Amino acid sequence: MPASGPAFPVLGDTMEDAAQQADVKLGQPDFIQFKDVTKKFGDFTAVQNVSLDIREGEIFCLLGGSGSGKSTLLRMLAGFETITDGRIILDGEDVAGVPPERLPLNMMFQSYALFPHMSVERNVGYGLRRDGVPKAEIATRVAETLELVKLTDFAKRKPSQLSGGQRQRVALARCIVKKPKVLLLDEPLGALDKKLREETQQELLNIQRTLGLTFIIVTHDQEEAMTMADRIGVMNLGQIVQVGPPRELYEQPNSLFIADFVGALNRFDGVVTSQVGENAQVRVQNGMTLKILSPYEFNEGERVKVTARPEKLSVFPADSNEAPTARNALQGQVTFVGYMGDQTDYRVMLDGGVEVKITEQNHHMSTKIAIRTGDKVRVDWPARSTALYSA
Amino acid sequence: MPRFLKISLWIGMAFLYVPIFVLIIYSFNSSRRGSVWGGFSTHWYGELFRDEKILQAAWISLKIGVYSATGATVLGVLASVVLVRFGAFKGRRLFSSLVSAPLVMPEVITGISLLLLFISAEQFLGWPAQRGILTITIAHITFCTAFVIVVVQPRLADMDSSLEEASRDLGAGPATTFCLVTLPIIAPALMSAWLLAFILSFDDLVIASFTSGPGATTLPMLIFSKIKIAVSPDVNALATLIILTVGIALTLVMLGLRKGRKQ
Ligand SMILES: Nc1ncnc2c1ncn2[C@@H]1O[C@H](COP(=O)(O)OP(=O)(O)OP(=O)(O)O)[C@@H](O)[C@H]1O
Ligand SMILES: [Mg+2]
Repeated sequence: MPASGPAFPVLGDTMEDAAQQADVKLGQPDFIQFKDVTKKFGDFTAVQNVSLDIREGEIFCLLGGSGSGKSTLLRMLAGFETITDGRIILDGEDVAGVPPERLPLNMMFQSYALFPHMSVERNVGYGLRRDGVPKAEIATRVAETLELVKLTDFAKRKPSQLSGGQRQRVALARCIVKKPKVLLLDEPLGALDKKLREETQQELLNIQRTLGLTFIIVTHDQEEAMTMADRIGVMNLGQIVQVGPPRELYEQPNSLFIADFVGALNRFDGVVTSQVGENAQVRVQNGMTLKILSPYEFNEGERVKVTARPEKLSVFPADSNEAPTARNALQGQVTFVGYMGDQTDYRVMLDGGVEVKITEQNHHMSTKIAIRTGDKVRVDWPARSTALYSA
Repeated sequence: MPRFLKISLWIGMAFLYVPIFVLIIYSFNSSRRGSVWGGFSTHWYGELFRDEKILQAAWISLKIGVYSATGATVLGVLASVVLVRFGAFKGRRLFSSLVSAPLVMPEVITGISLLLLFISAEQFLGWPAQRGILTITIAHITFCTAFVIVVVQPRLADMDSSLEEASRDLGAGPATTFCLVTLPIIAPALMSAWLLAFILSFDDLVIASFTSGPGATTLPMLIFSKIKIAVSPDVNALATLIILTVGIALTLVMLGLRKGRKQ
């Protein structure tokens, strides 16, 4: 019995999809290798025994809470921090001891770090001038890149005369004009508002595809990681907790931490009352019993955490004559309805005295449009898509 | 503003500036005797520019000011970089207090110790053969450096260090980064620091007196020796010109500091 094994049952196609997604990308699978990397600041361990391979041409997201060591990991790769222990190999070469100016990668800083005393054009051309690229070539490459990021009209401006989104694009242009093999982005969209973020995410993806770069993106926004990444590495307390394609992280989290961190979650304490094969019965708080399918065997009487994603549950009016869609059909009363446009969030107090969050997409509202706060409802809770973790 | 505060403000201002005003007014006094008003005249200003001694002293002070301000700025910037960018190296705290000690060191002590240093250096090394502009400049650099650090260090600490990292990342070595990114960004603070050092050097009397030698009389030294005999009206005129110069320089310092902060 694993301490906390992956317990989300696989919905047939998930694994294949994940495998396919990974196969679309060509290029060295071990383009960037972190080998047992540790970073200490004095007594404090900021990054602990991280081992990670990043494939050439992929978009890899480092996801984690504040202070989890994401930036530190990135900064070691970029040559800004010394590595306390372990090795980082970039395209076959150890980065230890190589000064940042000689590494074939570029970094986009969270603060953008645009040079305030230079125009947009000079900012973008800075790296090329350092490399001794001929003047004429610099001019054309800068112009091309500014066009790519749609900043041609702003070439003569100073950074202080630009909006946040424009500065972000200058910072991006300044990196990609050098045609690095790898682009490191430390919270590239942190300073942008939601709409601009989403647009820019698309732009970044387009540019990444056009230029065939390897992206390593640091973020603490799990939605951003999910939309952009080919693979996500989740960090906590300086360690990588799980690495995988977004779907795998969401559907098969290897721990309660991941399940909770990636996406919303209903979670309860329970006790396993019986298990025959995959069929387990779990008594949750206040005596309610759930039928759950779990590939892992639990002992009778073992304490577990029960988790289910809000969108896996569905809600029906109590008097609905639609047949139950799941093995658990529980009665309850609606305590909250939040209409979000594309979806509706419900909170339902089950008769057992447990409150659950439910998210319904708004494309089949016909029977549900009438559900209001205070209504009696039936909650269909599938035996699959519920996970058990030993407590 | 409450009346009480207003009145105290004016009293304070008067305390600071009335003597200077009196001095400026008396510099336009046509009478030879400092204490009697004999009508408006710019006579003493003309006299000033005919006085070889004063012109020479002014020239020496100017040269020493420029040399020491430049030297102090270079040293001060280096020290600031070490203090701000090199992290918590061993002995950082000691270094930090040592470089700022001259701020609070009594000038007489600084003067005596430097004099002793120059004398023994002359004995053992044969250099400096004679005290003069060079020794005064060295002495001024030692205490002006502390003031430069006070001005430059906070500005450098304010500067986003990711700017320097970005420069390195884009292919510039440490020296190129310093020249192309760090220096231009802290330039306003550098200007202020240089001017401040210049002013400090230009009107220093005590340390210059200790470290000077024959033939190197600075303007403050000359004024001091003159008023030991009698307060003559041409000294008033000279002082007025110095106030004007220092005033302009101080305004530039302020503007530079404000510009640096705004960026
Ligand atoms: N130069 C340093 N000296 C001491 N401790 C540091 C230093 N840099 C980072 N740390 C510590 O290391 C830990 C990880 O920092 P890091 O910047 O990598 O976090 P992060 O995951 O990027 O967080 P955030 O999302 O807030 O940017 C933090 O606890 C931080 O305080
Ligand atoms: Mg960070």
